[in-house]
Amino acid sequence: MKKALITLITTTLIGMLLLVALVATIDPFFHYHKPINNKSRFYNEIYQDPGIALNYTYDTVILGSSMTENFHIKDLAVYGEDAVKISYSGATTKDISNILGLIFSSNHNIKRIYIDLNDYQLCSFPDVNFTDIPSYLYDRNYITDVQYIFNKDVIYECLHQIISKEEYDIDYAFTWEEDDLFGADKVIEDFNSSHIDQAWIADNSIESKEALSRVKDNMNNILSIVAMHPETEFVFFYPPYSEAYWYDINRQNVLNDKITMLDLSMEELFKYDNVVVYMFMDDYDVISNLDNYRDICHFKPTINKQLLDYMHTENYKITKDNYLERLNTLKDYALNIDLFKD
Amino acid sequence: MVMLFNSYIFIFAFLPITFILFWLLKRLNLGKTSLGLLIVASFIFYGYQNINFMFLLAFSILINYGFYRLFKSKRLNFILRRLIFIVGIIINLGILVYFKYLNFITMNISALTGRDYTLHNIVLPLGISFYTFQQLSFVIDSYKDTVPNYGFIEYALFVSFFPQLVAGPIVLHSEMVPQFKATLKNKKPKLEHLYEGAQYFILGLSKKLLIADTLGRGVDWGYQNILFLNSISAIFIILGYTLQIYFDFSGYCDMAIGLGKLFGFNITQNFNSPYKALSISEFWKRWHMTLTRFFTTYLYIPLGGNRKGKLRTYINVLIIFTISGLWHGADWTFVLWGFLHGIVMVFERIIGFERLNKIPKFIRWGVTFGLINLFWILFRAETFLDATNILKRILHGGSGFILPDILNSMFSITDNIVYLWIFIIILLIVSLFLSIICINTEQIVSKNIIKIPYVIFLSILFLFSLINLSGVSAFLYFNF
Repeated sequence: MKKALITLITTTLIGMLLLVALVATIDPFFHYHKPINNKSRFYNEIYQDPGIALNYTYDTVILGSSMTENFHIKDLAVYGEDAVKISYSGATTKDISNILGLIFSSNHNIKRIYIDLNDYQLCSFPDVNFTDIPSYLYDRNYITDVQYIFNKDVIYECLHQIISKEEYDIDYAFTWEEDDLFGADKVIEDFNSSHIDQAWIADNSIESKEALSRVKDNMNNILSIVAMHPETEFVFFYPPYSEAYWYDINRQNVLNDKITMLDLSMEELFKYDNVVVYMFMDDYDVISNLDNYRDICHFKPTINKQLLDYMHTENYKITKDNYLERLNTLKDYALNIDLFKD
Repeated sequence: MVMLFNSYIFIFAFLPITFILFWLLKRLNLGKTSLGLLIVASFIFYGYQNINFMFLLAFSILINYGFYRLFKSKRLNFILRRLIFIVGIIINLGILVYFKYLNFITMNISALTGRDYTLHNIVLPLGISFYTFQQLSFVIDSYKDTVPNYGFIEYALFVSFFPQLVAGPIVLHSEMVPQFKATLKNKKPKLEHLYEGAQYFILGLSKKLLIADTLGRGVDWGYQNILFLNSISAIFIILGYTLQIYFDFSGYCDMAIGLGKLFGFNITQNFNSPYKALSISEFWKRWHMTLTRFFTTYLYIPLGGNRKGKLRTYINVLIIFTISGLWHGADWTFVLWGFLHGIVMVFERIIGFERLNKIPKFIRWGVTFGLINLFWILFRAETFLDATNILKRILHGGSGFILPDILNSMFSITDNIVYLWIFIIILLIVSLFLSIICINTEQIVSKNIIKIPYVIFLSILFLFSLINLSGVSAFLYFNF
């Protein structure tokens, strides 16, 4: 029996050590190091973004919502930027500031960070962040790593990577690029799927006004980090939502609120010397072609590339000198959209 | 929340530290201190996330020991003794009623009178149903003067000992305290105890994490989406819960027994293959045996048991089981669950066991198992409406195999429907086999298997259970 007990203890300990070795080596969430080969699958932003922020080396970051998912790193490489993409779909400004904290804690000399701004971030409650995130991946505490090492889904992913021959490129991390996702029909379908009646419009417009009071604090979540890093250039951009989006905003009677939201957020941005702002909302060629989109906001990867090119040629840059005028023109445009003209 | 056995902090921190310190103290011949250590550890275990629960437990221990010493002092006359006894019962039950039943009582009064008496949320201290019963048995026995001399430390450990504090078994002072005293002089753990303890703990952990929790995810989905269930899914949800509650509860008790053994103590068995029972009467001799024992000793027999004629026996049985239902949960669904078990028990007595035993075993088993499944619905459903709805779905749900949503909630390793079907069929076959045909944990451990393949198997079970403590959530945030 002594032999049985000792065997039990030894095999269990060896098993645990093997699991530690397995997870520490394959490390599917980059908690300890960059990938050792090209077999790392990029499939869960909340679990993988902190690892990318902490363990990759880079001097440039593209950070933001699902709008950033279709950017390709190589399109920045041509401009000499050694970049990573940290897409954080559904993030609030608090989440963004958390990730910025991780970025700066592990990499020095960050030259530039591109960040997109959207409705959802600007109107959320400023103290809200993701719930139920794997905080053990966001801290540097080895004790909490038991939840990473002895984790069935992580282990399955490790084993899967060992067995499978598939290779992945971070350039295509989190992208959605299949042609059949996009098309005007999909956009109209998305537009028609929201059920809006008078009661909803009434409630929503109250909520929409209240949200404006949160814009400044939300901007502050991010800008407080911007202020701490004058050596880094922060490029904020407002991605081009389709015409259908503006038509929808108009029929909800919240167009004024949305324009005000853009106004308020820009005012905060212009206060900083290390901030450059781009607004693509009024790229009418892009936004009027519904085939560029898969729903009322999300656009094709070709548009992402186009935006990168704009940002390197100062196209659609917006400043405190021209923002009022551009917002007004945008508002007029939105009031006159005829979505169903053909 | 208390600390759970099935958690990293328990397995990697609390248990190894307590184990090492305990046996170190014993090695240094500090037997009484080692018991004190277990009390401290048990309080840490219990108060881990809610320190108020700890104070309540401490209060319960102090006051009941006070009653014990009063009774022991023999300085009370008969009337005073009786009075203190009644006060003791009232205080113990009162604590239980306040924390567990007050909301239920006020809700019912509100429903009857139309006025709202509901209070703000009273948080239920975990384990209070269990340790209240242990205290009651102690107070009653103290009053009847059947308790020998117990020191405070032994008594306090009997109530608070962490393996059985939160979910039983309901141990008797006469089972535990003599052990605490007898092992004071032991300096080293017995090898058999360690090996048995490890087996019990690993088998119990696996039953809970690998079988009960997996089934539980599917059952939870089912009860949250009753109106979407097709026939097969409804049947699966019902059977799934029957299996879940067995593997969960018996698994936890296995772990409790295993932990007791690691410290050199024997904790009473609580289960004996209940789903092998051929009658509901037999079921209750195999399910939650310490509860049956408690009710028999402290309620059934004082009410007269079966010594006051048939009709009185039937009434006693119904009373016990209705109260048992209420003990399990503060809701009418639990009361009905208990009452129905009582009705069947009475029915079996009316038919008579001689006549019953003539029926083929397979039929007796089938009817018993069927009734068990049926009655568990009331236990799990939140309302009577949910219970009837899930039964209706069997008739009206329509065809199709178990819903993919149910399967996906249970197995995260794949979303390939064919693999999911294979997994669920294997899980059902294994859990039905283990609960109905196979020998149970106690029988396995008493065989004292020391062959290496078995040991390796235990090791793998443990590791597999360990990694099931964490998973990766899929976040669905594709809006902005």
